[in-house]
Amino acid sequence: MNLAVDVQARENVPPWLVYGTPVFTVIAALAVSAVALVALEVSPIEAYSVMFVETVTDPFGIAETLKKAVPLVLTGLAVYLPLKAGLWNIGAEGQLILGGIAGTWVGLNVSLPWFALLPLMFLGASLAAAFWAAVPAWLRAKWDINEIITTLLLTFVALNLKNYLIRGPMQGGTGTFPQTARLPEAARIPELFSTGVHAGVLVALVMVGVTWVLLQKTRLGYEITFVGSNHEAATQAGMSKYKVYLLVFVLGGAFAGMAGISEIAGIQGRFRAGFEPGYGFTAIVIALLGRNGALKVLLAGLFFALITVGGTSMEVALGIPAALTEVIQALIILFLITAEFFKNYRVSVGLERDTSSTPASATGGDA
Amino acid sequence: MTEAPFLRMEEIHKEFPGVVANDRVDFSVRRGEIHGLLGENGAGKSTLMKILYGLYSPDGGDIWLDGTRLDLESPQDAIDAGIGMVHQHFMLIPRLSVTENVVLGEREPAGRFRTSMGSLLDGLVSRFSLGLEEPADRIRDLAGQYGFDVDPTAKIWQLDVGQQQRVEILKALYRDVDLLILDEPTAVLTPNEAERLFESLERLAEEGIAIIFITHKLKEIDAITDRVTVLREGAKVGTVDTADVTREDLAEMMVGREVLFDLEKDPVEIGDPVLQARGLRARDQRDIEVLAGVDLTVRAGEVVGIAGVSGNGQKQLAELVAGLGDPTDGTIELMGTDLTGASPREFVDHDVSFVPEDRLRYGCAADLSVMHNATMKDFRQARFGANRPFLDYGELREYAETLVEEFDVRGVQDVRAVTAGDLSGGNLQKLILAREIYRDPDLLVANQPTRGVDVGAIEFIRESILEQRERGTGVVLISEDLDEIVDLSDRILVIYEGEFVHETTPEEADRERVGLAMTGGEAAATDGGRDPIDAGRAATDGGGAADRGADGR
Repeated sequence: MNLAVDVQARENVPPWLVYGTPVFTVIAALAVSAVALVALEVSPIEAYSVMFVETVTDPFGIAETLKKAVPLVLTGLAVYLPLKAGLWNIGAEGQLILGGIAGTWVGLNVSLPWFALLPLMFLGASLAAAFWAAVPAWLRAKWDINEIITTLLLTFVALNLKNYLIRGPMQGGTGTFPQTARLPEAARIPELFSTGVHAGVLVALVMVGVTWVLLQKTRLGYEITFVGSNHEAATQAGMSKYKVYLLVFVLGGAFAGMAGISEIAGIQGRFRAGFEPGYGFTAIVIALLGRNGALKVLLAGLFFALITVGGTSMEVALGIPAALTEVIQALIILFLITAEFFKNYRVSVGLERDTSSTPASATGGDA
Repeated sequence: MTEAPFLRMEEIHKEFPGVVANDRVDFSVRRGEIHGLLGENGAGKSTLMKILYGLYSPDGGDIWLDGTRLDLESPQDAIDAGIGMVHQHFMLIPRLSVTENVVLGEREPAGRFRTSMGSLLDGLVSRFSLGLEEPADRIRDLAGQYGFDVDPTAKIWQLDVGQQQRVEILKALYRDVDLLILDEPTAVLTPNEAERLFESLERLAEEGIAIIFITHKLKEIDAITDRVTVLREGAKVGTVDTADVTREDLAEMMVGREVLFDLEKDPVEIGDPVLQARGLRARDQRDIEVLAGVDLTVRAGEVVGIAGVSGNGQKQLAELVAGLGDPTDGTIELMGTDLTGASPREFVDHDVSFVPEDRLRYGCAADLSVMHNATMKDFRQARFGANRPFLDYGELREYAETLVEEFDVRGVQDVRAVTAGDLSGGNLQKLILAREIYRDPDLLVANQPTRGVDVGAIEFIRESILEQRERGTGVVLISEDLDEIVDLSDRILVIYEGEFVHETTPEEADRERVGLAMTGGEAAATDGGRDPIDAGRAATDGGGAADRGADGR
């Protein structure tokens, strides 16, 4: 008997599958995680209802989710846009941190009313992060140096630069804690209609819109799509790979910078040396899941915010170890990525009788 | 039909989602016969052969070889049954020797381990040891038997394309095949190499090996096959004895309508030069000089055909005059404007069109829609919203639909949904040509525009090029197909090792001489008796190139 696995590409993906897969896979991931929960003598149903149902029904949970979604969506875009041009921005984390530092510096050193200061902080953050991203883009466009490596390594440079700046020149406030001084009130992103959500969420939404319009409507978007699909044909058609590579990285970097400053000025209030949120790495998964459109990046970002916030409340409410929530989150991601495969391929598994007459030649040892 | 067929494929049926690739096809081959399998791209030739070679499993039908019913699940089953296939793209490892390539995948222990070991050790030995002496001897014998000049110890990268192909055939012969499938074997060969291949195949057939020869070139069917089976749109049209039919008959069977072989070429008034390239030099990636100072002048309404064996600098010449890459030396002028060193974009904006040799790599983005591919050079134009902030996708779509309609690109239901990669070779080429021609260029550079394209599409593409010539476009036509060059060109240049070594006109072209010049066999010298226009032109460019060619020898 042989186990026969037949994989065939689907010609058409039926609609129920397109919308159904994410739901099925999340349920499957939760079912697997339930084993671990039962082993810890926690009721999976209770745990999941805390993680999901309570988070999306409780105003506080919603607010937390939205706040968490802001940097995730922005860094998601920072990976997504270069991906459209066929490039991998693995260094959104470093760009986020540089943006946070530059924005914080502006907020601490410039005295302006909030309506002028905040845009200036976002501008500073975007510029610094865009510069950080432009370096790998330039190296890639000019010398064909692999951007995956350069963006990743520049992240470590950014982290150490941050450690130096926050412990050194930018250190401030009371005592000698490794942190900057507290941002003045004018440099804090205001709350949106007393919902508990800071206005950074608007920035994220606008940037999703900007990305969508750029890719779907403009000549630049057309060029980005073309270069991403076949840069040699694009060059032949008179498009500039150089321009497109720089543009997507500069814009992507700017998005990551905005994520950094919105997190500092919207939530933290000051830059601490320990600020390494990891959003820039989660963003890679978000961009992959949302790679079919800017709106999908938004959805993926919201979903990741939900499982992060839900995971935390599950830890608090039921005393589940933090490690286990991370396992659950990781399983959901794994299942979702695997599901992409099943969406595009039909796999049939069956047992069939072994008709082959050449087992000896296959093993060789019995000869 | 006195003799029982060696191979019988009965009612072979294969469907892919949405397409019937083989519609109950019957196919049989006799021992010692060279059997042509003819059809346009997408007619189902490859599918049928992939079923025979175990790469696809049929939805219905039976395969009988020498009276035994075959149930092929993989190429290994096919090889075990005695079926060998030489693919169009060679499956060889350049760094390994001929012998290593031939025995690759075979388990044969080294001679000195062969006799005395116990069964377990034998297994290990056969798995891990590599004895190359005996295989090398056998390859040498086989090569001698069929008249192949292949040294078993040579590395693949040292061999030319024709020899590499013979290694592929040896690979099959080494496995004792009785039936050999050749998938468009001449696509990569020069005319002389093809000639040699035919001789070898005839030897093989005499030895009793059945050969299936897949092609869409009618000339080759004439030249080598005993019988031919024609497929069209997945169905078998018929099997005929080659001797009984004319080329025209076969073409009609293949395309389903009458095909014109003689193109009407109306005289066109030749205008001012659109392209003037002087002293072009270029190097390839390995820093070897591939263009050694080439002058090329193309006038409005003139087709300049560049004949030559692939790899003699045509590719670089085409790319340079189309604006891709910069020459190491020399100048390029278009309509009097010096564009040396300008970006590809400037060449596009100066109405230069380019049909690249490698369609999938340079000609299109296979994953993007037909709409994207149809508009990739023109999307900046005013009609698509150049003065407005957004690109007018509605207009892009209409433009793409116009191209698809006018150039008869088939298989496109929705220009936004069908991707360029979904199209067959001929239809993709028509789409690319449509894009390049519809913008009414001043200069059209076409590198191998009909290679790998079916007869119907070839006819259409050639007519389109001639039509464009009548509209006053200067055309650079690069081709390895001498017939094509002679049929379409007003002037013929032969390129060899980066230089023009021979110049002639279609009326005066001596095929043998051109063929010889292509392979570097003759110092170039143009004969007299030209009309005054040609003579004058030769003085400006071609003559100079020919002189240098002669000097270099």
